[in-house]
Amino acid sequence: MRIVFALAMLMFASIAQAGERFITLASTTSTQNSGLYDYLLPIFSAETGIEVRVVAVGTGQAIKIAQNGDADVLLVHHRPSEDTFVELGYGIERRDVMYNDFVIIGPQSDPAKVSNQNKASDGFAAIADSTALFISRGDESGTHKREKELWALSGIQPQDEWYREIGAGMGAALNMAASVDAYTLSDRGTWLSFGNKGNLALLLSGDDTLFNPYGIILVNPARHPHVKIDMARRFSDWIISDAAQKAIGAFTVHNMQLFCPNAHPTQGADVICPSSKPHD
Amino acid sequence: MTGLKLTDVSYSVDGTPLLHGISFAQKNEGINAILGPNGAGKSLLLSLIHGVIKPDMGLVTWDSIVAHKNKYTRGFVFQTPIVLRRSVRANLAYPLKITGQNNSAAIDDMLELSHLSALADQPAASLSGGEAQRMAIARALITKPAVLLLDEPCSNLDPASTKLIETMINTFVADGGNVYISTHDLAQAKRLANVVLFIEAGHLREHEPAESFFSNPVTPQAQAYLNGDL
Amino acid sequence: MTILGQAAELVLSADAELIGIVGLSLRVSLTATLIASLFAVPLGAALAIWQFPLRQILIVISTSLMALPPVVVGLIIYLLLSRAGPLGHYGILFTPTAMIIAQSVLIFPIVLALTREAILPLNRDYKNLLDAWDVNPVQRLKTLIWDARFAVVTGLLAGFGRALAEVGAVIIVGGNIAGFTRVMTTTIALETSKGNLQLALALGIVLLSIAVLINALIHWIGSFGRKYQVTR
Repeated sequence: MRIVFALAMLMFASIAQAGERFITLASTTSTQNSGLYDYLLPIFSAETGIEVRVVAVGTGQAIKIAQNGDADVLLVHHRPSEDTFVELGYGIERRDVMYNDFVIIGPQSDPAKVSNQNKASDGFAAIADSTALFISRGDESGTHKREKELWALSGIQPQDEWYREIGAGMGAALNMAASVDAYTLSDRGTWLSFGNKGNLALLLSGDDTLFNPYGIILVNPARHPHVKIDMARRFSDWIISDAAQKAIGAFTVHNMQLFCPNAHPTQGADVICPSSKPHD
Repeated sequence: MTGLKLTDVSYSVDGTPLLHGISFAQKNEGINAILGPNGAGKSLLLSLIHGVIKPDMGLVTWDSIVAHKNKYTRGFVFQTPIVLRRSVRANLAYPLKITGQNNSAAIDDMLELSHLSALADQPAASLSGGEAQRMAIARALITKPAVLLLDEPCSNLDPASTKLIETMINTFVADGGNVYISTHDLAQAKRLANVVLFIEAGHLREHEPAESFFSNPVTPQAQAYLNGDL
Repeated sequence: MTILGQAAELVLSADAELIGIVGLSLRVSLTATLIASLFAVPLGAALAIWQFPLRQILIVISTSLMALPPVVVGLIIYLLLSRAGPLGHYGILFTPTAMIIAQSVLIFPIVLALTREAILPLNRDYKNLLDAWDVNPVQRLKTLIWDARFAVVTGLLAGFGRALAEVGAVIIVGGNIAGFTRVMTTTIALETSKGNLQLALALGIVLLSIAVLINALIHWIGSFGRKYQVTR
């Protein structure tokens, strides 16, 4: 009997924590893996006493979680999906937060001569022409959706053996690309901090079509009355504040800046953003 | 008439009849030996008398109570002793435990009666055949049943163990107990039995005092059996 | 640095975050094992002892469930605990409690099947004796489970091992939240996805060592108990 009681205590100990001040942020693995949240969120928590619990999954899953009301706030990087989310009434008060960019990664030997190209879609065309191995995330993530858009731009429908859809995250895609010397599309953040680069190198970047903006959206309390709208709004207000935006710009990996804050684009001149141009 | 009464008892397994219309009445006293050739149905009869199984047809009653309703008042000892994976002492304590009793004096007495005091805290699984069987009898007796049933208890044991076990049985009877024992050992039957029930091919052929059975068997089957021809 | 060296360094540095992660892994998996066993041990023993309608179907289902993919269990529990789901208003999703629930469901069939395997031979031995005494069902369960306890505990350990090693269920219902629902296996998955393969392997060695330690501990307790024969 004592065992049962101890068990109950163990379980309820964790339920008791539900009463603390925290919000749940649904975001993407690439943002989490870049280390931005480990760096940025403690600043917010120290100031406000609000803990931010990050559930980092693929873009599609993050949006689904927010749609179900299992998160209080959503931070992803796929504008069409974000707009749909708001239009359908699941989210309110969408704001720009920051942007970074995608990069084309491939083997240093670059058999498809991607590095000779300037535009990303031309780089993709080159890969298709040479039938060099290409790893696609195939998981409806922001990265994957951008990849599909780039193929559409290049006018090519990739479907032969050289095109490998793995249905997994950025890390898994890079791991595979490293082990078979393949090309892939990655976000710069994950690439910079990736620990298993092997023979891979950054071959193409800076094109407009590789621009990757991030947006923050509050989960609509009209849809889900239980969301912690006040604390969530406080977080959203904070992240577009000057202090937070400056902190985002100051975040570096291997001494390289990863994200460009753009909540207030007119102030973009203050911040130097490598290989990306501010957009509306 | 008090005591055990079987009325027209029959029992089949998978459609094969094994016991046919057995009827008898027996007072609660002394040692009743159930004799008969292999496959005659001795073990089956013992189980029906105990109450652990119910007849397909007919009635088994003890003092007018149907046997399976108060089976826990009768002790049963199997041919191969079933040993709980505990110490000897814990084995003896078990039947007391499940009836909510707690009587360490009784346990010590039983250990003495079965000459197992020295082995009390050994795991029962380490006992020899004879020791285990003595423990099984002591365990069956510890709740002070009125009746003890034994199914060929000494068939795998040496003479020394057999003697000890017969002493335990006689002590039980001297204290007023009633015994039903099946056995192949005619010498043992002659030593112990007050009454003999002779079963052959599922029928009760003879039921009489032991001396009369051994000196003057009535049926040809009994005669053949005693001659060693069955 | 070799992987073993890195593993040793991880342990010796007593990094607070690592300790938290290990502590949570143990807490979730141990609790799940105990909860699952509370139901699975008596039920498994009952399956071994008694004939009842649907028994064969139950046995087939429970043995098949041992092959249940953890990620499927996680998904089902997520759908139940999500705010959009039937049990959403308890707010259990993305907490250690959800992870405990998911793992309890996952290891229940294992403990059920192994308990049944442990009790079957013992029931064959004891059946005639317990029938003769007219032992009631609860007493019969207690007697058989106690006398088969070493084999039953082996089943519990198998369940615990499965819980400690799985990642598919806890990552979905827990959300792998840093400092809150991150356990050893999800950390290894995370570091792998970041390409930090050596660190992931080192963490794997730490996890393995813990599993070995716990199994050794239980084994030692068992032989200790056997030596000083419990005479209950």
